[in-house]
Amino acid sequence: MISGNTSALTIAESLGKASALSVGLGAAAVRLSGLITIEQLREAVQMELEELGLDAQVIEENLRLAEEVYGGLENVTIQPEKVPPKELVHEMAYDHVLLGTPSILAPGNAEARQTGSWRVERPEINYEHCTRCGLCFVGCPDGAIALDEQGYPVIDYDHCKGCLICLEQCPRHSIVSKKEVRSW
Amino acid sequence: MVRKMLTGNAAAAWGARLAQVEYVPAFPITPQTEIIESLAGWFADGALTGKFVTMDSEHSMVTAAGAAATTGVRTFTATSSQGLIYAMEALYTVSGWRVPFVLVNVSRGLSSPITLGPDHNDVLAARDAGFIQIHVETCQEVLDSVLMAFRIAEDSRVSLPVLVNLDGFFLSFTREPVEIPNAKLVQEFLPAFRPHHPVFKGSQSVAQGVAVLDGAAYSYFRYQMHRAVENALEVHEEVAEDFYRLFGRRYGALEEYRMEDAETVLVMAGSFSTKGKAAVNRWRDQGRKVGLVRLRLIRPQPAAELARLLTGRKAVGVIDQNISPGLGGILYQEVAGALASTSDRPPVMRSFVGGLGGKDISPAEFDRVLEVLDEAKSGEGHVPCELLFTDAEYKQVRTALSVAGKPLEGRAS
Ligand code: SF4
Ligand code: SF4
Repeated sequence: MISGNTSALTIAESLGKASALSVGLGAAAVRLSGLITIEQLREAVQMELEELGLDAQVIEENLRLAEEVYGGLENVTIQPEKVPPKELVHEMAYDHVLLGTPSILAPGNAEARQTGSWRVERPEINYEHCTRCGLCFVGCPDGAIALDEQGYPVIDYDHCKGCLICLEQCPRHSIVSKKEVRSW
Repeated sequence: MVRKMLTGNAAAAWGARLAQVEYVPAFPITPQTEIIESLAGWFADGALTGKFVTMDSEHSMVTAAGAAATTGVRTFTATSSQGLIYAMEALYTVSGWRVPFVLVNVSRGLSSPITLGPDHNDVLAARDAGFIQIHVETCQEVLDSVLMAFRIAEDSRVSLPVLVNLDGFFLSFTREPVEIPNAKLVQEFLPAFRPHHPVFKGSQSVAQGVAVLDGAAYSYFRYQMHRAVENALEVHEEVAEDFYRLFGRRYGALEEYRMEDAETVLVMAGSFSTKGKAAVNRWRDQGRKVGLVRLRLIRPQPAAELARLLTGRKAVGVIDQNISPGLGGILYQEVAGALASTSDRPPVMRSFVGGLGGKDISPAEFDRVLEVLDEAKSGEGHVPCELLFTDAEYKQVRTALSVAGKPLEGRAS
């Protein structure tokens, strides 16, 4: 479905990025739905990104991407399936209370959930000014900061939720925050 | 076995004492306070061992009760009215943990205006919280139901908190002869608590109250809770049978009163059912074929049995001691729902609201109910609920209003 004026690479890149919001994906979805005009798409992207406080230039890049993706996809007619796919419907019986209770008995599985995907603000350490005092390491409520062999703090971005407590803690102001939302 | 003149509150406390509860988080509120005062005394003099803790609010109290039950100790608590409403968030939370404990609610009308007399808007506000609900009529039934409640709550097919509801004043402060069961027999009926749910122990890590953040997992646990509440119907029946065998008193999910040949049926809940039974007796003396069904188990709803009892009758009047403004009586809707898919529904079904805030339901008002049911025709479509009130009561309220400076000259009439 990707045609001439948009390279497959551009779209793949934009869709593949693990950012909190994908303009490219949204543009593709509205194009396929056939319900939204390009003007409406531009307006929606503009409003959404402005609310996040992004720079005008970043917003412009996103608008360009949205237009590229929108224009690059052919008009497709989606035929609704005449017979919906057969899905088995579960008959819910009573399970023993040990199963049917939302409690967790197996320890050590919190790591499997990548809580970093919720992050809106991203703390970044400026190592030039870091004195390795370790206060950020101690203060992080999520244990998302480790110390490397030299004693420098290293943030685990898979689990850092972006609360910025580390930033508040750092006596050297050597942790800065960046908006997590990228251009695409 | 000892027979004593006990208030409903004392009977509730005796139930907890005989169940040998190990933890009681408490917060006072009229008309419930006598329950926790009695228990405090027994923890102080050693009749009960364990912990009695006064909390800062009912919200904390119910949370503490749930938390204690997660450690596997037998837990009891009690509240009323505003207290139950204040704990509402915690009610849903702790039932989600699937922990067994018993909460006694002493019904009292909700604010505003403030009152102390009973009605069932407090307890019915909690009807969807995942607690089993037992509504009682007498002081003896208070004590017996607390014991039964622990058995039901602790059964692995249920594993949920159970709420026992008694009416403020009419039961809480009224002395009736109550048989206090023999402690040995109670132990046979209700052995020490052996939890089936995962409990907190020093040697075993458990995370409770977790987030699931996905609709399928959330639905699964909510459906499981629904099934567990449904299971309580069967468990209640078994427990009632055991109770009868040991103590000689039998309790059904519903109570039938003079129902054999009844053509007209009153449906009621709580202590005011006694007034309904008196009306039934009076009408029976006049040759009328009237009976009464008392709703004892509110959750789970014994829908099949309710349908069995009410199909084939000529007229059913549900007297709700609660009001859902803009709808009418709450239990009427539930009774009608239970009959919805039956083929031999009563041709006449009517909703009445009475007894709010402890207001009496007088013989004249009961006669009005019967008159409405007699005159009603089948197929009249929706008829709004009837609000029971007497002329004398209206006059009394107008007198009070005039003392309050109403009506103001020229502003209202
Ligand atoms: S932002 Fe919060 S979660 Fe992330 S590293 Fe800093 S303190 Fe930890
Ligand atoms: S608090 Fe600041 S200075 Fe201290 S270790 Fe962390 S980043 Fe470095």
